Amino acid sequence: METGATLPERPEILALEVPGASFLEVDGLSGGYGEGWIFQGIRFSLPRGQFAALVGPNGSGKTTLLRGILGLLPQQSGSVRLDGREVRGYGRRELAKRVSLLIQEDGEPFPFSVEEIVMMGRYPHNPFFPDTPQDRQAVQDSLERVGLARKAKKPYLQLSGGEKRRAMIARSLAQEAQLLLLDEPTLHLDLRYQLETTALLRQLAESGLAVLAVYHDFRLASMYAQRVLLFQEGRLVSDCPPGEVDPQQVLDLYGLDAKFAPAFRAFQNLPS
Amino acid sequence: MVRYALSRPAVLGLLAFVILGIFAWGLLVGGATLSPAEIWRALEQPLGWSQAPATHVSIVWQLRLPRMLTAFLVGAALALAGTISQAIFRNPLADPFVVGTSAGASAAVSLALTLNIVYLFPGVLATPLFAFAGAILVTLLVLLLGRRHGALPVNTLLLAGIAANYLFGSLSILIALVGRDVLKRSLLWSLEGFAGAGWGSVMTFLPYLAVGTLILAFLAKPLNLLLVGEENALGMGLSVQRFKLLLVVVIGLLAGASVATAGIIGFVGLVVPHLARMWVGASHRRLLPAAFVGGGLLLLAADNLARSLIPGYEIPVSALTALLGVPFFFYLLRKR
Repeated sequence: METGATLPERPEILALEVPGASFLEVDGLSGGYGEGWIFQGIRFSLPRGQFAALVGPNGSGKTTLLRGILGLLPQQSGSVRLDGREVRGYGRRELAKRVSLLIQEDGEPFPFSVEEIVMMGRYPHNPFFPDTPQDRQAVQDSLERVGLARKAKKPYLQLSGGEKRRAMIARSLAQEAQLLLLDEPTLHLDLRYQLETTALLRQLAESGLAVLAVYHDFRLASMYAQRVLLFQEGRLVSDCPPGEVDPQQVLDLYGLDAKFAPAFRAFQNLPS
Repeated sequence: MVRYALSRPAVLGLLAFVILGIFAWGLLVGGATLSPAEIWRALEQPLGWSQAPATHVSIVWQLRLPRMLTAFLVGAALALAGTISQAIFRNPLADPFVVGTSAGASAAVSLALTLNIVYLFPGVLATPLFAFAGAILVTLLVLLLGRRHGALPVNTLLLAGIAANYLFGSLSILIALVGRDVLKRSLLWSLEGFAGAGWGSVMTFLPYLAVGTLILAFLAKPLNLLLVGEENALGMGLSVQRFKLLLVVVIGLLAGASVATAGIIGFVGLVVPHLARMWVGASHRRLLPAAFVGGGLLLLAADNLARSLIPGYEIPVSALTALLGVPFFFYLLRKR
């Protein structure tokens, strides 16, 4: 892969000191689709420069939480502050200039070029054609940051799974959002692309973005995330650097027998 | 994407040539046999350069030209309606015919004709107004009943379309039976195609197409966004629900007016967006103009064929587009 997203040889754990208010502050957030709460009483904050992984088993409500952060749920209460302002107070496009959302959605494929996909991220800045020079510059820069500049004119559908994911991330970057919300960014990717994509997220966080990504694989997330939020049955049960996660909690999270403890302890022993 | 094997001027030149060719072909065919020279003299008659028999002038200016123009404009409208149906349903098999929009529009026109309420509205707007209402109603119905997680899966789409087509097809027949005395008019208008088209049809149709096209001219970007999924589009700042409602109105304008003008013509809205995508890619900035021109040319060519295939007899143009479209439809189904 010709990207600059090199794998750190050993993911180091950064200090979590946050001066002042964080870019994203979630407080007492509950949400659902109108038939009872899917998640309740969520409270955490995320500063710029940090990559946090939201980890939990399938069906625990992680994706719903991402929707809740953007204020998209039919039923939700509590507060989500972004850059010091309530999310609900932003217009759609104003919000999109600050947060991007990447969700894997089904649908029939349409033959866009890579560049066209990334250009879509410019919508909140310029909702009409023609594209401005700033638009083109932003697309070019974003493609370079994810290492896809050479494939700008290629049909999106001809990219590999990992490249597609990076093109989508480039779209978020072109949006100039400072908070990236990603739903299962490594879904359906093989190991190499899982690692590359996750390493890229870490790299983007280090360049100053706030990144919150949903993972169901605790091991993958804890390799690169600076923080792991464990999510169980709609509640946040742990929020700490991956090296400090209680192995017992991870076992509980996935409903695993104690005999599987070594699988996770191995991660705890990563030198940090 | 390797799209332009030829330079842009070459492509546009070729296109102009094809357009002229298809229009010339349309002028030459028809019930009366006129030589190219006679056609030419009739064409330039209004300029006063030459003398042509009044019948020739009338055939060219009152029959063939307005009919061809109507066919072109309706084809353009159907292709645009198909293109945005495919975006709104996020499904390349959608078009106003498949989804049942056209059947709804047709039933509404039948109802209006039978109840004799068409004449409540000013002339130019009359029939298309009812078609517009019927088209919007059915599109919303299919959209609301069939959607799963923001997209319309192919099987649901096809089932909803079959149901809507049967339902509104039967309704049309029932309506026509109830209003016996207007039965003839109600049944025939939908099969006539462009046979009765004159300048009146052009003037009735044009406002709908103009408004629809003008709105679409500003929507190329959000249309692109819809194709990567509704939640992602929301995340990029698009108010998806409001936008989709606007699109349904535009589909109603375009498909409704088409049905009111020429009856139900299937598959133009399905085939043309696909061909256009092969030609210019998926971005609506180029796709919408390409579909407009492609749809117009295709339906004009089909109508030319309908007028000339069997000498002295006119095939309904909808039968021809179906003959052309059905194999393509199956090809798309198989390819998936």
